[in-house]
Formats: sequence, structure tokens, C-alpha cells
Amino acid sequence: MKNKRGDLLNNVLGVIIAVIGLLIIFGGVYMLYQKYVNIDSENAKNTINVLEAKINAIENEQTGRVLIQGFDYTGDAWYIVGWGRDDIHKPGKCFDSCICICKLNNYDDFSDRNVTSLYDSVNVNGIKKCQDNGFCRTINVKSVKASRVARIPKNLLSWEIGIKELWESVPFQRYDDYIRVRKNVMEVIVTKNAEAVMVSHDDTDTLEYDKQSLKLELSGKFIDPND
Amino acid sequence: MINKKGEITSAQIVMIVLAIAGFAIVIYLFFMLDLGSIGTRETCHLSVLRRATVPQIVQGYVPLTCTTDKICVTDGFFGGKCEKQFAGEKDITLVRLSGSPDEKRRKIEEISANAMYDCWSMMGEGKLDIFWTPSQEVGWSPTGSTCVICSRVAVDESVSESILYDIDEKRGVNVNRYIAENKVPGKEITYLQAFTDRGISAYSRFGNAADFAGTLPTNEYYKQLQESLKGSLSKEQRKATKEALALVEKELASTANNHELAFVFSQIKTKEIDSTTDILADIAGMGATAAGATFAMPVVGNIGTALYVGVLGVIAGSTSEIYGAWNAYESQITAMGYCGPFASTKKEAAQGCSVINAVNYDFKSINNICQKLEGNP
Repeated sequence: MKNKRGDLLNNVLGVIIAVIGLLIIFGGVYMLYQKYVNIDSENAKNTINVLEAKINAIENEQTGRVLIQGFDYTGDAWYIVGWGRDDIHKPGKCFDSCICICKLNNYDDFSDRNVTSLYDSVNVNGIKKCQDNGFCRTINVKSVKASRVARIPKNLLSWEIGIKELWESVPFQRYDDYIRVRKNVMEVIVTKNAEAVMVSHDDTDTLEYDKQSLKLELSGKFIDPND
Repeated sequence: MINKKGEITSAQIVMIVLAIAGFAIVIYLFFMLDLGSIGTRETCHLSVLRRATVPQIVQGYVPLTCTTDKICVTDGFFGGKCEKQFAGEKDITLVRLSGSPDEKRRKIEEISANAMYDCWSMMGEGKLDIFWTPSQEVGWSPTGSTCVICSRVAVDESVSESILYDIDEKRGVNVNRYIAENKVPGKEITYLQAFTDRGISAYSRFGNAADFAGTLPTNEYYKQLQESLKGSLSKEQRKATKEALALVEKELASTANNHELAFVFSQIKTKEIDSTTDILADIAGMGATAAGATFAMPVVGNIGTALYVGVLGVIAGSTSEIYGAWNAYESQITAMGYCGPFASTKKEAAQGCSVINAVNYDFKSINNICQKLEGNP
């Protein structure tokens, strides 16, 4: 005759052991994923941590040059974006003013990718991505802005593209409300006062990138050459 | 058979064994991966070896756990902590100089030589294929150089310029001389021999600094150029001198008083089997001492040119002849390298060049040799 109590004990013991075993295995797999597959996110986290530390180290009413070591990411590029305390549209994790690093898509996540615009910023879609996959750090000032300035030489556009009319409509400088993280080293200028922090990057020297992207953009086939 | 109360069945034994085995594997991986308890250099070296030995298809998923070493050289007990360079950063190694000016100079030379050697040995002496990407393999993305910034050495404001540079070349900081004359700690070979597989014992042009404008501190070179303009020059010479002067002014303005060096390991690959030999020939033609597959290149600026011309057929970026941004300390340090086949898990080994050099820690100098970076800041 079977011992029911013994069976029950065996089953419970078996289930407990199996659950523990599964937890350990899944934990191990998750750890491996975090360590190996999620390299981009780890690098992005490091980058924003360094930037936060540098911003905090700069005194009020001071300007400092900060060198940011970029990283080799795959797929969409990473961008540094800032939001102020009073901004209505910002990631939920950005309670106060903050500086974030987010992986964004060239097409979907920006308000205007038109070459003739003077100005471009992250759209609602991009904000959602920042909330889901980005990393934000709180900065205790009223306003935080990250911006990219790119001066496009006249001769580059007119000579390379060869369309005079188009050149007339293209701004000499464009300002964007984000900084694209490079795969090598980039210099940003941090300006700080009691009310605001401004992180800016002069992207002019990436002419090759601009040249290629503008040409492709005009031909309707904008493909990010760095992707 | 009757199952007695509390008796463990064979199924349970299997499950227990499986659970224990799973646990053991996880613990093993945990210790393999969580390498924080051992030194950062060992951690980095292990990750390099791990990446070099896994099948290439998964190489991109194996992170290089190399963190840039931050070293602050300061003068005496009351010297600063390189606040200007390392503001807000953590884990900075402070080295306080003491003794006579010459002893301080030797210490700076030692730190620099060790930073260079540690980087070289950490990265497998340049012979491992560690920056493989599938897109490059199939030709979707261009060949570019990938780098790891192994260490940053900053000199605090408290260290006098006269320590770093002395008009009498034999007295000033001379890392090249230190590398050629001193043995690697715990080894019977000099740093130079270690870098070059014992192939080079002395530089072919060692001590002949005047051959290279780049070996002069920029401010000295600036003075020389200004003096030359006062003399009688042909129209062409005057034009060339003015152009050089403008370059130096620009360089001085951009990196003045930076006082920080980056020791950078870079690797670039080529698809052509014979091209590494050609690159070595190019490098030798540019003043390097080459032995077998290894070389020592005295002018850092030229190394970028040589590699890019050899591998890509174009000069990428600016290769300004003036690389000495803030003093002789930076501009004099010889780049060491290896060109040839890499050790790889693939049957047909990739070819390329690896270089370790010291550049000013500014984006222009680093980006001149690096198109991509790996490792942690």
C-alpha cells in the first residue's frame, strides 16, 4: 500500500527543488544577458554617469570642457537629451530637471529631420523610448539643455550637391536639442549657473557624416552612415 | 517496491543533482564574470583573452571589461589632486613626486613606461584579433581603427614645467630613454625589447630629436618658427613657415595646459595579405625602427598617417606634424606596434596592425587614431 504522506512529501520536495533550480538557471541566464548582450546599455549608463559627475563638479557661473568617451553601439544611435523642471513633455522618470541618454531612431523619434530646418528636437515617440530604455540623471537646476550645433560650410553643400536653389534654403548653422553620442571621443561644453545647465557640442567637424547624410536625405534615402 | 515514508526516490536524486549542478554552473559563471574583486588590469586582460578565444560570430557580445586607469601625478605632500583633469571622477591613483628634480623626472618616466607596457600586455601585445565585427567582415562597413584608452596620466598644476621639460635634453623627462634602458619589473628584458619581441634594443634615431619637429615642445617650436621669420627666407620658405606657425598657434590654443596624456591601444585590420608588410615598410620610411613584425615609431603623428595610408589608402583625419601639444613629455613618447597576422579562432587569420601610443587627452588627438572606442571611461 502506498504511503500518501510520503508521496506528498516527495512531490512537495521535488517541486521546491525544481523551482529553486529554475530560479537559479533563469537568474544565471539573466545575469549573462545583462553582462554580455546588454553592452550598449552598460556603456550608455557609464557615459551619462561621467557626464553627471562632470556637470556636478563644475561651479556655478563656470564653463568647462568635458571629454566624453563614446562607445561602439549597434543599431540606432544613442543621444544625450536634457529636460527642464517646467517642461511638460518629458520622460516620467525625469521628475525634476534631468539629463538623459536614450537610444533613438533617426526617423521616428525626432520632430523634424528636414535638412532645411534650423532646429530639431526629440518627439513624443522619442520621449517614450527615453522613458522605457533610457538612463536619466537628475540635475538640480531649473533648466537643462543638451544641444548640438553644426555649421555647414557653404562650399560643401553647393559644391557637393550642386543645387543652387537648395543651398539658398539651407541654413548655415543648425541647432538641435540633442547630442548624438559618437563612437570615439567627443568634447562637450558645459555652462552652468544657478538656474540652468547647458551642455553643447559642436558637431561641425563631422563633415563627412553631414555630407553623406545630407546627400542621402536629399535623395530621399537617408541612411545613417554610422549605423 | 514500497516507498517508505520520507525515502528519496531516484527522480528526486536526479533533480537534486541537476539543481546542484545548475547552481555550481551559475556560481562558476558568477565568479568568472564578476571580476571586481581582482585588479582592473587582470579583469581587462581576462576579458581580452575571452573575446579572442570565443568563436568570432559571438565576439561582439563579449564585452571588454577594460576601465581607463586614471593616474594623477602631483608634486610633494601638498600638491593637488589633478582637480582640473579629473573633476568629478572616481578611482584616481595619486602618485606624489618626491626627491630631487631628476628623481621626479625618473618617476614620471617610470609611470609612463609602465602605463604603456601594462596597456600593451593587457591587450595581448597587439597579436590578438579582438575587434571583429560581422559588418566589416562582409564589407558592409569600412575598415576603421578601434581603440581602448587604457590609462590617462594627468600632471597636476603643482608639478613645475621645468620638471617635465628641460632645455638640456639629457636632463628632462625622457620616456624613450627610460623604455630603452630600463627593465620591465620582474623581467630580464627592457621595455623596448618587451614591446618588440626582443627585436629592438635601441632606436635607430634615438637621441636625434632634432630630426623631428614633433619631438620639440610646441612652445619651443613656436619660438623657433618666429625666429626663422626674422631671418632671410625665400618666398616659399616664408609661406611654409607662416603656415606652420598658424598650425602651432591653433594647436597651442586648443590644447594649452591640458597636461593630460592618454595611453591608447589601437587596432586596424586589412584584407590584403601583403599589406601589413607594405605598412611596415611605410612606417620604416617614416623614421620608425622596425624588426620583424614589430616597430617603434618616434613621431606619434606619423603613425596615424602610415596606418591609414597603408590600410585604407587614404589619410583619414588631420595628421598634423605638430603633435607636441603641451611639452616634450607628450610629444616625445615613441609609439610601439605590431603589424602582421593576428592569433584568431578563425582558420584564416586576419591581418592588421596594433599600436600603443601616448597622445594628448583631447578629442582631436584621440579621434585622429580611433574611429571607435571600447572599454569603460
